[in-house]
Amino acid sequence: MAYYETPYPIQKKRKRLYGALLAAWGAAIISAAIWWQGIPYDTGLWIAFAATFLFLEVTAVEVNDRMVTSPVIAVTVTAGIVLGREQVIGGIIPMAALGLIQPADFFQRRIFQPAGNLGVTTTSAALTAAVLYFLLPADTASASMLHIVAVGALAAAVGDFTSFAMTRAVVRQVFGSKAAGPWSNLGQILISFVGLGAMGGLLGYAYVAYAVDHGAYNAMLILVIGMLLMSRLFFASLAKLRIAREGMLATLVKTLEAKDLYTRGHTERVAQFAVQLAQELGLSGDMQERIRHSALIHDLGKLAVPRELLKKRGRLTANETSTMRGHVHHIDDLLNDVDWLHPLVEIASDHHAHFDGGGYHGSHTDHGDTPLAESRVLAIADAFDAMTSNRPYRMALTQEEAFRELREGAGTQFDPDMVEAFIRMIERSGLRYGALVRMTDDEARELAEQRGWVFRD
Amino acid sequence: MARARLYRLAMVVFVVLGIAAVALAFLARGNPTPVVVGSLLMTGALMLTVPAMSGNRVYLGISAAAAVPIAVADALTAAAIYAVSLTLAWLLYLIFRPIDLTELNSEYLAEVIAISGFGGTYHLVATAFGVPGFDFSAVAPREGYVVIVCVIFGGLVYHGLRAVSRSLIGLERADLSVRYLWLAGLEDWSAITVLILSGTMVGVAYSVLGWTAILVAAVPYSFTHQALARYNGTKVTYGQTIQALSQIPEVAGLAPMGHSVRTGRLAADMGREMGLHPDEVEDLEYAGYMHDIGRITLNEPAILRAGFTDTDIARWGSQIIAEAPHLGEVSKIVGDQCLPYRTPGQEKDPEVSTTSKIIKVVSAYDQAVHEMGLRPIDAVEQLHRGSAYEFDPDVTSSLRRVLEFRGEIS
Repeated sequence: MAYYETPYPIQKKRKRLYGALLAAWGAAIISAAIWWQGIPYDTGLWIAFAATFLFLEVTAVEVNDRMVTSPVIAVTVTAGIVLGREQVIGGIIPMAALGLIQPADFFQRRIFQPAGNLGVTTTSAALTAAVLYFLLPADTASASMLHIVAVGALAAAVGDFTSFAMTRAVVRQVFGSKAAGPWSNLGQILISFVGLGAMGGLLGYAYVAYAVDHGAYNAMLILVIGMLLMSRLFFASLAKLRIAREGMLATLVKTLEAKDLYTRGHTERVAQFAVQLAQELGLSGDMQERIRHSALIHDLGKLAVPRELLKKRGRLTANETSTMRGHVHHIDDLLNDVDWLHPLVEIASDHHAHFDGGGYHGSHTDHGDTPLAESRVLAIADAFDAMTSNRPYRMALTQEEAFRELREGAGTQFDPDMVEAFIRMIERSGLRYGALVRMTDDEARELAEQRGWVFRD
Repeated sequence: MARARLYRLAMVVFVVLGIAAVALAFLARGNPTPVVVGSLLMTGALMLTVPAMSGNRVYLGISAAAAVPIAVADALTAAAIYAVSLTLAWLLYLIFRPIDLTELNSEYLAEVIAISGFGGTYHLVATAFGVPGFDFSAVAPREGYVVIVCVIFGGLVYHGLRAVSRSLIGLERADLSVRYLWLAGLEDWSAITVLILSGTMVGVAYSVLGWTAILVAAVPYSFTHQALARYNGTKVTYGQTIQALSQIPEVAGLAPMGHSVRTGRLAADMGREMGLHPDEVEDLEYAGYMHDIGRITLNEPAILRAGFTDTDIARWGSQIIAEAPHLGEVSKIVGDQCLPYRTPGQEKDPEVSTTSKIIKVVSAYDQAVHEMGLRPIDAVEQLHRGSAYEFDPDVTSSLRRVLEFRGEIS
């Protein structure tokens, strides 16, 4: 499920153009590969690996927002080594095209995704095949194992980096720059691809060494394929953990909404503003994800604040204000025993801390410390949404007034660079937030009193 | 009493195993290197465990057990390695982790029985294929296929024996049903398959690669190991977050302190006692923690003015939990927690799940003891009195047995 909807302008013409170009490019690569080396003559071996490849592709999982992956790179490398230099080009490039159609494409009748995938996967497979072709020795069985493993890891790194970079570039070109992300754990995922390549190298080498004495169709083939299938769990577990965390965050947000309906839109809007600002600042996918998650829980401490206070119309007394501000500490108390939320709680509990070290800090930073970049992003998003929406105790400001307030606080309450980036981003989006008309304070108060938003003093 | 009996049984097995180890090592003394190296490696593997998806830990020893027969290619040597390493690892557990002897004995006892079953089956199948004494070169170049067949049968026996021994040993604990233990044992199949596959890989590749065969299996295994650890992390994520969530109505002053955690734990104990599937027990525990989460809405003035019933609270709670995609079952349990177990004319309402009935009984029991101040035995009596429509007598009886085991009622 998505917590926020970023308006992705889907440009149909561009989609068609890129889809056609990529499909044609992919078809050209496959034709060239078959023209050069022909289809593999070890047909049985090719079918065994192709079936493994297909199974892993069909059961691929979503490890990030619309980023679907599987350990097929290990199959590609193993198959390349098993088939040997004479068949690697004609073997693994057509195999990569098998991953072209995902079940979702079929059910949702998508055409662009398979077309784009054809171009991307064949390019990446071609580079993987090229590394294997040029760096593998003619006689794999007599080479050193280390050599084969290193070639496998390099081939995987080249292939997967290409695939990743191309996918990202195509998504940006077609759907706009904000569509790909936030993607987190990228470092871990890219390193694991290299590891999977090394694993493919090891398994390929073991098969080739065993095949010298035992012929092409041997028991080692079954074990190698078993090992390749087993590596599916690696990404499957990553996806399951992600679903668990997203689900638990959604439940926490729902609980907060159940107590305080006003928070509903607020939490989601703050998450949206914060992620957009993080993207504008060019923060990493991991940081963007942390910011989004901490935005979703930033007001959770309010669950422990009495409802009358949350809903109070008019000014709060000094006592009430301090109770209200205590919510940044309550979040620490509530979520203290939840290990995976610790980094998020650290960010969220500082959303009222100031850039210059003032304001209200959570338990993780002291008065005088500059809060983390994630907390500074969250502070601006939270303040902007608070100013541009109606609150029980005052009317919404106009967008210009909110910008003015942010600029006034820049350097003291807010990070000045972030404030400018935020204003730039909102202005560029062309969307308007807050009240549409400018009113003096007296006019606003009069209107508010008429509508029963505030009590007369 | 039961523990003492189990302890004695474990000690007898330990002594018999030790004698067998000494005798087999003596008989295999002509070939000392494989016995010593193999035993040390297998002992090391037996000292390591991996968390399976069920939350149980699986010993890496089965991986070594799958590799040994083909790597040493001699039945006597293989038997000596099995016996020596099983004894040695047991000894090391007794020396280095003497926290709860009986518990460790019972779990390890099941492992010893299962690995012995694995070795025995392996030997029988190999003999049937004309390879007595594990001299696989007799069937070359097809020896790999024979090994795979032996391992498949051996693995099935290991899996079954492990689950059976765990559940039979668990009979000594009155609060755990045999069915629950058996199902929990079977849940570990994925981790066991991975371990046996890796071990077989080492054994088969050893003939051509030597010791580097371990690397060939270890790298793919390390990916799966991370995956299994992460699956366990998913369980921890749910468990910890749900416990934190359950505190929210209590912190906000809308539910009595500690009620949800007590309900969750007691409900899970009863699920185990009643022999539910381990997945159901997990859902039951989560449902217990969150059964009052709907109370968070109770300070909404509009709701207080309009009035509400327990059914409303259950429904609101169920709606909140339904936000998490994998907690659909928990959401249903919480939503159904107020339903009577039967309506006039029925014996039992088949629509109401056992899990919902357990939550209903446990929540009422906890309220009676901790809010109304009744003694546990009186609270159980109250529940028995409500057995006309509200509280299922089977569930109440299970509650009584769990409380008896806990020593809260006599």
